[in-house]
Amino acid sequence: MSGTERATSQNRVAPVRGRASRPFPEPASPLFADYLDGLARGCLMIRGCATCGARQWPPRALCGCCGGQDFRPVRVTDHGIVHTFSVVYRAFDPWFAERVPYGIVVADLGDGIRMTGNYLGEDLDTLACGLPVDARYCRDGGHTFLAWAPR
Amino acid sequence: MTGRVARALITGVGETDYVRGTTQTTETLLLRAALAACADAGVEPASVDGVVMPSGKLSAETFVHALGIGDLRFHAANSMGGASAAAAVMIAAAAVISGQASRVLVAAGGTQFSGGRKLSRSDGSAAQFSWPAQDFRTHLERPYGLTVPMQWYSLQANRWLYETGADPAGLREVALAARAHARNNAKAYFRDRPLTAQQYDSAPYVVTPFRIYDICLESDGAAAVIIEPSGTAGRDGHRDVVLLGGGEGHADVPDDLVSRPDILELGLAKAARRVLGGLGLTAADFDFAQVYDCFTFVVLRQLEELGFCKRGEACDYVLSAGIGPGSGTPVNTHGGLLAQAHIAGMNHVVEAVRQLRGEAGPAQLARAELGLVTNYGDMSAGSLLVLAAS
Repeated sequence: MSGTERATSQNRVAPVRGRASRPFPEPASPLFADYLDGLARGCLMIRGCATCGARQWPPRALCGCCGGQDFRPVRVTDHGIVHTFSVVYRAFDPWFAERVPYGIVVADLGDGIRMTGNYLGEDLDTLACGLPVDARYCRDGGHTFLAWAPR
Repeated sequence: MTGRVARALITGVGETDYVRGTTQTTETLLLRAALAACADAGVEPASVDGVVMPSGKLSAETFVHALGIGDLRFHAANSMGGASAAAAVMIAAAAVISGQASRVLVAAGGTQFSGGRKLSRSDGSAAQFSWPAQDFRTHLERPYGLTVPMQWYSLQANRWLYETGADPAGLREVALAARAHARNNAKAYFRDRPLTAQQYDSAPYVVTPFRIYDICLESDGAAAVIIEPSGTAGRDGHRDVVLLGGGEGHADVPDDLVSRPDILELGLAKAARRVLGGLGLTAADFDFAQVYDCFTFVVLRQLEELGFCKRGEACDYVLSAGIGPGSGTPVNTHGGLLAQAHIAGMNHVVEAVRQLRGEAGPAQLARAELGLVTNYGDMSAGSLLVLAAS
């Protein structure tokens, strides 16, 4: 069983070491509103420039192509390929201290878009570059976080 | 002309003790290293008229009081994480060459072990460090347990192993070489603690593919250098070291590894092409290289981008040519961050100066005329210095 699955089930039972949930940003930046709303609704949203249409991820104040500052949400696929990964055996945040080992996945969604989430595979040894993965949207308190499950 | 200085000298170096556990403050350590560098240069501390602070750890005003500076003409701070110290030396060189100052101090280090915030801790204190693009860190990384540099660079390392088929035994070789060099350095924390391949192999992973021996020390201590324009050399028969050139480099998408088109790219690659190309030098020209070694993997990738070998070949390079004592181009003759101390890479600059002066003690190389120093930090920002004996 992966660290992430353990983590989500444990979190509903009891807070661990002083923090009840993952270290989510409080408050979230308005730049990430489309992305976070997407996660809550079960899809992956990046941004597109309202002026020139260039896609932007991660979100920044200005469009890197035309300098525009108006953006609209753009939905992207939630199927990816593991571009790279890490398996973490030592926690660097109190919430993760009792949840090691866990896997971090950087999934390639095509067109240069990559998104980071935790690995949901049964066995961390299966986590490798090139593995096809699908997005999963996991609840933790009032937040939704991204996880990647082997296809 | 690109990256070429040659009109600046490193005229003095100073270090505090390098320890793990101190009651001294970062301020005290930096000031003591500064005074030691002035003494080494044979100059009155009050004659320093410029201060550059890598990572801005201390204000220039603090140095004014401690050194008795009457007319501070120049100060600057930069922010490149572990790449800051060597880049700060280049700022100091620019200041003395342009005439804005005549004697500039650069001091780095602090209480990384005893100071309360540690990147090795499980208490989340890494979040208090200043990283580029904090919003990316807080929204896209920390909720997923991606918090510290060893995790960022593990993302590069795992991709590198996959793309190139590099032999992970190369990481071990870097760790073993660092400990072997440390035996020749009186200030090295691991001077009396050699490492064996068996010890390395039996250590568990901290973050794949890094074991504890792939990860640098956290240390208390400081190091400083004095930069002056050429033409001021020769006090007390001192052997000043010539700063032939240097520079900094930033990777594409410098504030985010994950979305960088080539996740393996290093800022050092751009800087090395510019600086070494401008000087007409190649890796083979150097008698030694002091390569920023926060992690063994980071040494390997820098050796590739410096031109010692091609991408994916650094493991073969260190396993065949070697980088330890007695090798053709020894790397980190002081033991580096892995085995001497983590003094923000300024200890690499100090060791390069000592080698070029012939004052490196048991680690002294038979030939030390031309040396290379790199620093590395944040999301793979890089800086380098090319130093020559006078």
